[in-house]
Amino acid sequence: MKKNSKSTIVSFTALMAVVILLVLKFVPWDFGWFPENVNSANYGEEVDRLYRTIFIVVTLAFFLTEITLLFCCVFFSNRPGRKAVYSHGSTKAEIFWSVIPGVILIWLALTQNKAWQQAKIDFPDEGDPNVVVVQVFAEQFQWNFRYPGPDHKFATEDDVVSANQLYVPINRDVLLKMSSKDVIHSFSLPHARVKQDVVPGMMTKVWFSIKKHAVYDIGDLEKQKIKFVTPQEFAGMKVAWGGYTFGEVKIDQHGKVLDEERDKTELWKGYKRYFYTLNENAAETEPTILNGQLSALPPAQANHVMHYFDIACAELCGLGHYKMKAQLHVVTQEMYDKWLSVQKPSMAAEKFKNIWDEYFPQYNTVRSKAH
Amino acid sequence: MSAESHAEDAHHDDHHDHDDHIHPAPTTFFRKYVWTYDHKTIGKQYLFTALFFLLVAGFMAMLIRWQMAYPGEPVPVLGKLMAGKFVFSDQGSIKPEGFIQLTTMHGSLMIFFTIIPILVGVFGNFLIPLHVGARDVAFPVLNALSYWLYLPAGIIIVSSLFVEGGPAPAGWTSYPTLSDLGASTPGAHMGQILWLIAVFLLGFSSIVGGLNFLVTIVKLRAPGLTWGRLPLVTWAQTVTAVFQVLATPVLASATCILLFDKLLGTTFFLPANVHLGNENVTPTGGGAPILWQHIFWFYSHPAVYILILPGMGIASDLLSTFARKPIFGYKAMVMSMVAIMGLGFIVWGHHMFISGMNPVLSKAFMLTTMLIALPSAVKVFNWLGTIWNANIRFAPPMLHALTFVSMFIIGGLSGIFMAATPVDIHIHDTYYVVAHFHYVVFGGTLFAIFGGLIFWYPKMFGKMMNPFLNKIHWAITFVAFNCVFFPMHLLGEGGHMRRIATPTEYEFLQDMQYMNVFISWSAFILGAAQLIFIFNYFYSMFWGRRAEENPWESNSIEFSIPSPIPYYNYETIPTVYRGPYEYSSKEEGVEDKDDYAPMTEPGDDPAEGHH
Repeated sequence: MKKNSKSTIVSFTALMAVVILLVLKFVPWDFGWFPENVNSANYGEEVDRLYRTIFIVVTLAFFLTEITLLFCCVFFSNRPGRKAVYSHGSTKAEIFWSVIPGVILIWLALTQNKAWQQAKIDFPDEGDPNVVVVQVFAEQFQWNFRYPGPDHKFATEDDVVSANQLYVPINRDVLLKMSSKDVIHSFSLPHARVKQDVVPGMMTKVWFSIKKHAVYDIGDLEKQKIKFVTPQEFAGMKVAWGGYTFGEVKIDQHGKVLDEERDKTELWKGYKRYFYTLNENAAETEPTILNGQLSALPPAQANHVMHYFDIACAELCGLGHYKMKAQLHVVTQEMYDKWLSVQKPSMAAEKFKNIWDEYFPQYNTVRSKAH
Repeated sequence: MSAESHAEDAHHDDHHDHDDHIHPAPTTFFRKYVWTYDHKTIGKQYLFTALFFLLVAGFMAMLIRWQMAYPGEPVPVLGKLMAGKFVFSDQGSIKPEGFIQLTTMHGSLMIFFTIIPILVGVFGNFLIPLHVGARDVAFPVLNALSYWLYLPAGIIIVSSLFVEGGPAPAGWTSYPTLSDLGASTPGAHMGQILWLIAVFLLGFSSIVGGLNFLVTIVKLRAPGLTWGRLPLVTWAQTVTAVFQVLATPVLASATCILLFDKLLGTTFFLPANVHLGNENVTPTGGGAPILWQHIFWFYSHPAVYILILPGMGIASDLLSTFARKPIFGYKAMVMSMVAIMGLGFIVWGHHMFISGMNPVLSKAFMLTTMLIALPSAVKVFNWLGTIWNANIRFAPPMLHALTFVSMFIIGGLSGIFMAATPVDIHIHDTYYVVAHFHYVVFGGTLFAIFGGLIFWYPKMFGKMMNPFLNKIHWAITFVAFNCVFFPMHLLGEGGHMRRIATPTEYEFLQDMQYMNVFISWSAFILGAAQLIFIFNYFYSMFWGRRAEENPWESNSIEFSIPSPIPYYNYETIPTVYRGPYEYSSKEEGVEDKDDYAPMTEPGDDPAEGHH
């Protein structure tokens, strides 16, 4: 049997080395496609880190195999007088390329367990007053949230209920206890690497902790954009909380605002710009955050506006699935307390009362780990 | 009659008169083309029906892509013609409920009515009897029944497009309670019922087909055709048949139970006190929606392997034939398929990591899922081993086979991300998943199908397809395919949810909308390129170059008989002397035509004593 010629081996090794060097240099290792990760729970960063670990292994495997394929196509293509090497394979080679990937795969599986345990099994203690426990009642096509109020008990008079608005204090563990009224939904928070199906007839839980506020930089109307800021950065800003209206406008890819009548074909491309405008009747007393504290500064003097993270439904739930979204407002403890205190009873409260409390009272029990 | 074993034939010599075994070919149109028992004609019936569904489902994909690129904009031409009908609004754009119905039907038609029927119905039917050296399958009447269950199932699912409310809207996975409650969303009543009946019928067709193939392969192998000499295509069909026989009944029972829920008022998948609006629609309840997911994926995960294994088999044969080199590690290739089958039954939970299933279970499913990557990896390395030091002929089938390997690598590797439970939290139910399974099923299987259709075309129709058009089609498909599906990985990383009708609804997806536009235009090119293949396929049938007996210089048995294959396949049941991959075995004679040794040519087996 003819062995691999020396020149084949040399050229193959050289090609492999060159490509791997190019990969190391040019592959976008910053993973810019991911939404910025703002989850400060112990598993939050881990999800991204594990992704990168797998990415490195997989990228190497990809180039190893694809380069070999290309190399074979070029060097072992049919030429006059050429003859293939008659061989049925090599058991040694097969053992080599079964054992190595096998070990890598098992190692990969084992490295995942800790983060999974933290994300889905070891929830924060519901009985701990520092943990913000919120009930989530999903329905077609709305997210209903209920807070226990000052008494830390659900289904009591002081409960706070809201629809499609989830307020959480920054850097505190948030535990969501979720169930669905009708079909299966999925609570998805891409910025925090959180996703969990919400199933009728049972309760599922997720937890997270958010380390950044979402604000809109409104310094320049043309260049308004979302920013995620740490509490330290937040403390140095003049942020309006209310007094502004969020809107959107269709633009072309160069940022020019489109005319609904004139630029019909351009409109199809679906580019949008979001922006905040000051309300005409913005009351001068609406709270504005200055240096991280609530103050009575007029919103017109703000250079940022409080914004939110998108909460989406990730499980097909019917015709309105595409617009079943909610807003996650990450606020300071002071703002959180204020927000809780001004909420009024709403339709959402009726749903909790008439359906959740009526049929699923067991979901209201708070299980403390201490007992 | 053809069910009888050919084992005793082994002792007869080749000149024995077998005329008493051969039935005369039918003469009436009805018996020749409609109610036929001939496995080759049944294979072609499957082929033309499945190609029709491929076009329909492919066209639905174009509508989906239109909506993703230009949400809410009227569909050109068709939107005007069908305004207010089917999935279109009065303005001619796609309605939100129409969008989820389109994604549901695209998935269902592609998986149940196109890919599985082509792999099993077309290649299984056409090749298994030929490859085992038989005149037909073990149970020809049952085989005809398989097709005649598939066709009504197809008619039912197509008719569901026109019923009140439209077709099924709950995804090809049809998760209750959305699929269970008729009032949950348009199409969830009548459309969903028809979907379930169609899938139930198709399940039946699949079970009897799988049983038939298993018996054929086990009992009807020609003398000398040991398990170790079976072509890998047929090995793949064997493993697939086991999957079909063991897993499909589970799907059949699941659809049956869901039909009970919908028609008889049982509540297998409905918990108590589900409310639509303010109405309590299941005062009694007692069921569990997640139960459906377990049962469904217990079938549908093996179904994923039904979707890929025959493609792996086809690719193995094509690679060896055009590399003019024996397959690298035949035994490992077979063992890895068997390993995939074994592991394939215990990985279904990886579809359910975030479903509300006990998260501790997920750890076990993650480990088995990681392990199932191993046999696939071994296959990839062995394919590469096959083309190493080879003498590759770049005929159109080979281009497709090589593409299969390289695209399957991407699809396999992206699967590892989703197998990892914490990473899956972020990419579950996003376009990452869509990218992954299209790389496997389109990039893998469909390329293998194209390769196989071209490779066995002379045997089916006695003509050759135009190689130039084949190469053009391959080149455009290869480039456009990657332009469509690779960016979907990036969308998925960005958190882009599946099955949402308007991506522009979400602020965090806005920056990626240009990618959707790019993907859509690539998809339109991809779709249009398939017309080249379809044209070539039908044009060549009538005006193609007449094919000789063995145009590809293959060792396989079916290439030792005339093209197209006569009604009775083999005048004399062939005797097999060696395996199908003995290429370039002769030391002397470097001429191309001298580098193969057909299975049926009397002589030594060069593999004997060689290792």
